[in-house]
Amino acid sequence: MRFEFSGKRIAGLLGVLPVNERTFDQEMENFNFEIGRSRKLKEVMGYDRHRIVNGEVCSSDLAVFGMQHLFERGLIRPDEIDALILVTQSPDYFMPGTASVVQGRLGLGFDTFCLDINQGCAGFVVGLMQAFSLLDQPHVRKVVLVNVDVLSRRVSPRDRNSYPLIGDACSIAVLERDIGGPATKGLIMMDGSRCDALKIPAGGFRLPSDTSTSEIMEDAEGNLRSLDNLVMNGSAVFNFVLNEVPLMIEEVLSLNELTKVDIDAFLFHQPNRFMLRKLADKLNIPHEKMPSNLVEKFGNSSGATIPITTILNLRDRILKERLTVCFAGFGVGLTWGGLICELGPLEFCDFIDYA
Amino acid sequence: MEEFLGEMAEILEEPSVAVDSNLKSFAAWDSLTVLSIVSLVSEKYKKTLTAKEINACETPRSLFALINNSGK
Repeated sequence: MRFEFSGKRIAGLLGVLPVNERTFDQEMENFNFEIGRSRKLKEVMGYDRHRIVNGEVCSSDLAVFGMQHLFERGLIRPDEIDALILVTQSPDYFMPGTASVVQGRLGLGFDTFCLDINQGCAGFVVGLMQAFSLLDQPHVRKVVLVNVDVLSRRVSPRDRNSYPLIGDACSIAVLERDIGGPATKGLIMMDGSRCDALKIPAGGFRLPSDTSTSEIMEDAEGNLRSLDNLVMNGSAVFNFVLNEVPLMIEEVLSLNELTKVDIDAFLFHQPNRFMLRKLADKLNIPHEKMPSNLVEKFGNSSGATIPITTILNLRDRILKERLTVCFAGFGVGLTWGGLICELGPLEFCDFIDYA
Repeated sequence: MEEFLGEMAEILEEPSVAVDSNLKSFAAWDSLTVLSIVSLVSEKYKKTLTAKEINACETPRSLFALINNSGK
């Protein structure tokens, strides 16, 4: 689906990261692999450390903590928020939605529209599209877009395929009108026929969790996980990203009548350094224009990766100047999408730790 | 073929690899190696192979035939 907006902007970005940090070296011995090969994996993929929640921390805990920080510092007032969109694959409950849980905990007004979106790695692009659509409503002033996941709780610590890269985090983007501001054009693509590539098989209504779904099994490669855990077909995801994303980016550039040299930064979802470098090479984008350092510092936090990569790499610049950036997300669904927009100067752009 | 054997030796971290050697017998044969092959094939040979297809190959010879016969 193509989309196009004008007169909207990102006013500020906040990243909330669990303070609990684990290193690949600490966790290496949990894997059923020879240490030398795990070291090689670390080097190739760019694994080093990641932030994961300690204990039973939920998505709403990170979101409420971040929102309270914004309220306390006067960066947004509760009564300005007309809509709260929360994108997650790790909701507090099946029902009610986590956006409603957050609204209730923050005491936001009854006239706040709350919406959960079940999206992951492309969730920032999907969320922006939804938030900008709401801002087309004449009475909507500010929309808060929360991307949050605590998926480490559903990844087996003995799964070398997924555990080293997973990270928990929450990002909060405040979106508002920018009368006369430049147009934003983008594209979102989906292919549900490949939805098995990234999946938590059990725990829903199709396969409810029971004692058999929690049984740890070894896959053909030596990874240990159960049906309650997240499972990723790494090479299928790699092929998907390398085949589909470059075509999508080229189309987004042409929709916006821009070329790669016009883009100051390509802020993409962060699966791992290996895949991002291959993607940059295939697109002929210099590595310095496409950051790939999130996984090594904080881990891959699903829909929160794009804002957190932006804060990590561009904070000082986007507080002062306006950049032309290309956002792109790709993953679970399968979903892939991108857009080009003007970013900055932002009113706030920070990280906080959740203890 | 010689060039492909050189690329395989590099991925498998061996000084050289024979055309009929057993791929699974290499110490470095694991999911990372398979992903490196997927990536090589995509980048250099412009083909898309799955991990399953690669794992079904016994030798560099059969892998090379798979790459050349793959229509994707």
